[in-house]
Amino acid sequence: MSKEKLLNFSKVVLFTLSFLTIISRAALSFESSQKLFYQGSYSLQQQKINNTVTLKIDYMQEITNDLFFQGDLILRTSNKEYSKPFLIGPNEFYLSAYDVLENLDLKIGQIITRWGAADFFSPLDNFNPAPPELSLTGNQGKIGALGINATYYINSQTYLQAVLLPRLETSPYPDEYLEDSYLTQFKPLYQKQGIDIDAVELSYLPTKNMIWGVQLNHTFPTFDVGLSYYRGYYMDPFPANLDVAFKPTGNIMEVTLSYPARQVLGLEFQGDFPGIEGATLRGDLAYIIPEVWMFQGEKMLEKPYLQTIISADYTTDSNLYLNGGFIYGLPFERGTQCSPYLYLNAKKEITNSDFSPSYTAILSLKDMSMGNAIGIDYQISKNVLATLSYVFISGDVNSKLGILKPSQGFYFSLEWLF
Amino acid sequence: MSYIKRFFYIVFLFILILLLNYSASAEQLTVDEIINRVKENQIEYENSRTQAEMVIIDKNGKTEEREIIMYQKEEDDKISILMRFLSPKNVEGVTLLSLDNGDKIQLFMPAYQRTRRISGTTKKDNFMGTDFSYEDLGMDYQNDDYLKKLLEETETQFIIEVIPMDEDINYSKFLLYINKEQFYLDKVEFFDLEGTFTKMLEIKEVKIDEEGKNTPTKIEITNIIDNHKTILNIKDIEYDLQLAGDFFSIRTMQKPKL
Repeated sequence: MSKEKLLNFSKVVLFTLSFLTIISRAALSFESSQKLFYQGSYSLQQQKINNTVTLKIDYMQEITNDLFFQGDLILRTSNKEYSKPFLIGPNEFYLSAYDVLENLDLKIGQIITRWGAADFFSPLDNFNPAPPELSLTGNQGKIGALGINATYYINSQTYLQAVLLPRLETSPYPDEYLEDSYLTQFKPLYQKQGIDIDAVELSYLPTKNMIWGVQLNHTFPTFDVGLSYYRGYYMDPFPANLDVAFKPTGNIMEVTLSYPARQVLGLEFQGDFPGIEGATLRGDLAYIIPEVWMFQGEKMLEKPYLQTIISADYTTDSNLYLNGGFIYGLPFERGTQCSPYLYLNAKKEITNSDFSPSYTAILSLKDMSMGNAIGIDYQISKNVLATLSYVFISGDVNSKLGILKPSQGFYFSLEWLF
Repeated sequence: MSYIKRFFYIVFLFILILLLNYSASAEQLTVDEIINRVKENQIEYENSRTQAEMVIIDKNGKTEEREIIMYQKEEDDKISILMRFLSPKNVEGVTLLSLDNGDKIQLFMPAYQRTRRISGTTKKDNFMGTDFSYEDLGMDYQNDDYLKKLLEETETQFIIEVIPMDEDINYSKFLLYINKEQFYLDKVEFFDLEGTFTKMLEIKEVKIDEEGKNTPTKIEITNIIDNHKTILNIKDIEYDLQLAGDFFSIRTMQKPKL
């Protein structure tokens, strides 16, 4: 049996054992719920159909009235480019303890901590990475990170939260993707110097310090406000060094990657929108202080910069949900790259119908490039939901949102909760 | 559960409001006397926990069933409600916290692992596809910001008009139908700010204990405009629980088990 087949066989055995373990535990003492999720897409650029099937099992064990064990298990198979064909493992598993000391609650384990009031693209949400893709068709999930989250309730209106992660959980960019990206970017430059690059090898410099943050939240009569400080790293890899090694097997471009440090001072708020009855205002403002980062003589990060998202959501009398706002700096923008955007998310709940049409758009105010997603949800039954979306991008391929053109196409998902 | 409790509240509050100020006679009973009779027939408690089944019916007769658990307390004329959906799967764990008679509303959705504040001015929106608005869930009809008038007395009911004085309330008036024999609320009709009859709440079944105290066990609310209906079947109610002082808080909302 080849090594690859043996590996696949081991994964199947592991999958089966884990699945049976969870199911049997659930039957014995755990409370569990499952979600089977199919995502299909047709890329207009690649003219290729991608399929991903995910089984997510959530479980919860009540140990005492104030102590719980919670977690999940994810089993996924996909034929997407750069995706692992098969993935199994937990995204979260942790103990949550309430009143450990008076008014002190703890979460310990592989956890997800979400900061920021904005619905998405929050510059304050920095403890857990998201999958490395910008989605116009749904909320992005987060990847669990090992750590501790402690919340101390000073009173019923005010609490202080502290989060500590012993190591950085990074965005899971596949090496193959990064290798292809660097090869595409640098191979022509070396060719001009008469050097043919045959392959790319990646190495990573580890981060040195723990990641931590504190947040103070207070509820006012019409507003909730939070002030926060985060000290950690960027979760996407930055190039730190690049060399070419001339080996008998060929010329290897050796790229060293790392994660620059950063501090984030944050302000978040949500509450009544002054002057607009029925609207809720949400906002996140981040002042980001990066580590100075040089690559090939160019400063990729230097001065502190701002990122913000301010949005409002409102439901009309005809059950049309509107969520729109202003963004300064998308997640993939840093420093001077940050630019302004407007976005709108609209969803119509049709009375006495199982269909819900939706529209999402992001417009770059810098170059007027635009991303659009038109979709419709169909509630097949109370536990089964189907969604069909069409994503199209306007603008030059090198424009702010034109770079998302490879994502143009049709998206279909089917979600079954049981 | 929350809905049920809210319904109870609405019923009780309407009755109380009516009774508080109206002085016209009705079979020799003034509004105050009617209200006192209604109060006498209600169970007095500091807080409660209600478990209920909620059935949502659309105009085509399609039904959706949900189970809820709701905690409620009243303190200094302020009603606090904590409600969680127990089923079905697509709303399981979704938790609503309403404080200060609905002025502060927070929603916790387990999938997003954080609470979302909802504007007080969105209170007229329907909650989670039901026929209850956020406002219905948190409204305190017992305060004095209402004008009451006995419109009619039939063989079986007192019919009372209640007009809210608070401009923040998204209704222009309510009509209360009070059972003359048992002194509990049979029905409430809701009129929007344009004066259109939009919603109706009916107490379909009532449990009366040995002391004559009544507890609604089946409540139905109908959206007249959309021909949409929500039914609450109350399965269990407990009173005067030993709840922590900060039970009605965003801290509790995030607990996996209430």
